[in-house]
Amino acid sequence: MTGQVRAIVWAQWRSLVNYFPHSNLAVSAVSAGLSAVWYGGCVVFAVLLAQVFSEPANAGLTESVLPPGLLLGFLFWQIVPVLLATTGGSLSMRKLLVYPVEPSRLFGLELALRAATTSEMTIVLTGVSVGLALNPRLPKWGPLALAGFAAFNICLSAGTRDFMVRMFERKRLREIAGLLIVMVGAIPQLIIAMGYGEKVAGLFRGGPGAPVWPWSAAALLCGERPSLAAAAVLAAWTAAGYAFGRFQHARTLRFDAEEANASESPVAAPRRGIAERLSAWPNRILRDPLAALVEKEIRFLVRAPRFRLVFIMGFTFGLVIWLPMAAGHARGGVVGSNFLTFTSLYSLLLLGDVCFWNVFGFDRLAAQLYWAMPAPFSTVLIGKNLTALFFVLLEVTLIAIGCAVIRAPLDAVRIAEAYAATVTTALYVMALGNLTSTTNARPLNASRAMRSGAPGKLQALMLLLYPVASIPVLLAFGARYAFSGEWAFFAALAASGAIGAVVYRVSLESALEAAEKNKEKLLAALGQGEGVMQA
Amino acid sequence: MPGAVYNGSVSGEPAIAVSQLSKVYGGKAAVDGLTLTVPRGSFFGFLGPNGAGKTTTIRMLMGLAPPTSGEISILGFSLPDGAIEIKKRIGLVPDESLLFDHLTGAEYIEFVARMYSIPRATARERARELLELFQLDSAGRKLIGEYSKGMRKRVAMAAALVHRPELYLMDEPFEGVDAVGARLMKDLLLEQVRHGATVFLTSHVLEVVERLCDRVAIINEGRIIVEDSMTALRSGAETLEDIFVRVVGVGRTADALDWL
Repeated sequence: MTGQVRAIVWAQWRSLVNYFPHSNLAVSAVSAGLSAVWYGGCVVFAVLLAQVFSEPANAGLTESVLPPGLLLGFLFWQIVPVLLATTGGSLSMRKLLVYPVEPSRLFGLELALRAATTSEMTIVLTGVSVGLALNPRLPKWGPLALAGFAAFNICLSAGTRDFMVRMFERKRLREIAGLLIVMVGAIPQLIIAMGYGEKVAGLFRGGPGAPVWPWSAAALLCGERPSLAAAAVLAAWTAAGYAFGRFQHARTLRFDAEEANASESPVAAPRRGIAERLSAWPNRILRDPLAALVEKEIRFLVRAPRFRLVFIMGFTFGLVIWLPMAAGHARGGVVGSNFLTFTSLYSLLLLGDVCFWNVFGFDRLAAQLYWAMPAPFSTVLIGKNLTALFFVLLEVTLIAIGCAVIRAPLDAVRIAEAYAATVTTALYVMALGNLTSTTNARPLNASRAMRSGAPGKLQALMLLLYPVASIPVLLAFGARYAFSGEWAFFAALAASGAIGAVVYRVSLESALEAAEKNKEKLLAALGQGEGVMQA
Repeated sequence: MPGAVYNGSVSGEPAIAVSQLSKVYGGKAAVDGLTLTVPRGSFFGFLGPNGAGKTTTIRMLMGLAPPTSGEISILGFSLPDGAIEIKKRIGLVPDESLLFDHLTGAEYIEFVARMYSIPRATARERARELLELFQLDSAGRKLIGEYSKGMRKRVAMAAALVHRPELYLMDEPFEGVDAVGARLMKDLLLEQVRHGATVFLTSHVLEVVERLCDRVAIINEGRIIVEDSMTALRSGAETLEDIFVRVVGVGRTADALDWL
């Protein structure tokens, strides 16, 4: 059994190491260097903490600094394993079921792996523990309390990870799971924007008397005034964390994705779904093969969890992330008065990866059909661009509805402004995207809601190209400011739009040339691997 | 079986004995009251059209999907009670989902070997030899997630061999594998059967099944519709393909499409 445990831990380690780019020596050296800096930094931080907490004069820090510090540790411990699970850098316990390992022992292994994947926290807490143990004014069982806190976190994070992994394997629920993860990042911002910051902070700090939270209980046990109540609270949280982790682990081992996704009524007549409704319009206004291409794109994207997630994020996460800059005193500011336009442009950024910069990503090797079918390749690119534009307009509409719901500044001019600014920017993004799509294609896994794999050079390129594509809108804002009139904004946008049309036309020609020239290279890149690594 | 080298499992029992096995997904039976016996030392072909229930059956035999009802006995041990004893004795070529995409081929084979309690040094040596045998050594640091379909099948096959199991459960082992690789795999499996192992495989390549298997079962809509020895099945003028098409593919002709 020990050999098996070692083998599993080793495989997890190798998976984590391999998760980072390893294509050449230079990249490997950079990856190793970054890891050394990161973990070295953790060790240095742990040593500093040990020194600080070992000083008798700093005994009071267990009441002021330790609770929020442990709260941050709690957040790190819960979020990192879920993120690793979504990227595939974490071993799946279900895959180990085919080997002769006792399922009951797998939970212990799961806990060990969770501890291993968040070793930064272990290092930092070790530093704190050493400091507490060396401080003569503090009780010697402080490190024990921190060990209990660590056990609680590891059990809880194992359970949370198991739960999220199952969610990611369920159709329809995986987008919700993805959205949940990204929304967690926006929650603090939203709380502060809505003016509940102090109230929520107080809630997590806990009031005088018996502590409520595991971090405040653990901190109290480490301090000069430990109490039995704090020990009981920490023990209760740890027991609850263990029970939750164990329950979720057992459910994950029993989980059968096929069974979970099976339709309850296999003989029922197919409903006219969203994909059917959305894909009806191309046939009314376009002619084949363009209509067929746009229809196919719409159907495909609507059914792709990855696209659905970024699309939903546009009018949910996008609204939330910009809200703090448009709420309260900031309401009359630049972002506040142009909230709809800013959010719409942000949604364009979110859609970029799947709709603009890498338009053949979801097609993978099926992209070879575009070169084989009896239609000009320009039809393919125009079809993909029209589809993207359709979804951009739909996204702006949904954001406008969202703005109305949250009572953000909204009127006919602002709506027109948002549509005009987004479409103009989209024109430039499409022009640039057609070039990147035909020169730097890479396969995407449409069935995964979250992007996996280390960020590639396309992501880096996007960071550079998106501001370039936003210049026309910035100029329009500048014109409105300079001439103090809405007409100036629209006139500047109209001029930018006209230039954008020319840029689009020219870039389309270049993209067609690139597509022909790079055909073989593109197909080789899109056909790489059958697994999930390229996703 | 002369020359058998395996021991530990309950001798005299069939390699696989399945009784009234069912698996229901969302109200529909993927496997419906399946009863099947696979003798030890046989090369057993488990055939069926797409969606017939082959993969679901294999997943239940591997212990990955609990049956809705029915009993499974493998090498004399019952599932789920004897799961560990069974797992020690079987080698799997599963569908691709069970491979670890973030490991290299060598790392994966070494990992699998160590899961069967083979010492690390031996595991590493066998991984190297198997990679060489399956011509995957040139893939070097390439991760399994970057492998082609054929390479993934080959690495799965190599990992299945690493602990010399008594029973091989294989789901479409030759899918996407080139002729040279497939030939190697067939030769290795025949050699294992000659030494007393049992092979249970699913395949759509009927010529391969016809050449390799000594016993065949055809499943359709979750039920066994034909089960016999290859000799008995081929006693008439029909090939295995003729038999297969006759029993599962009735009425599928292009005559109905008058424009074609």
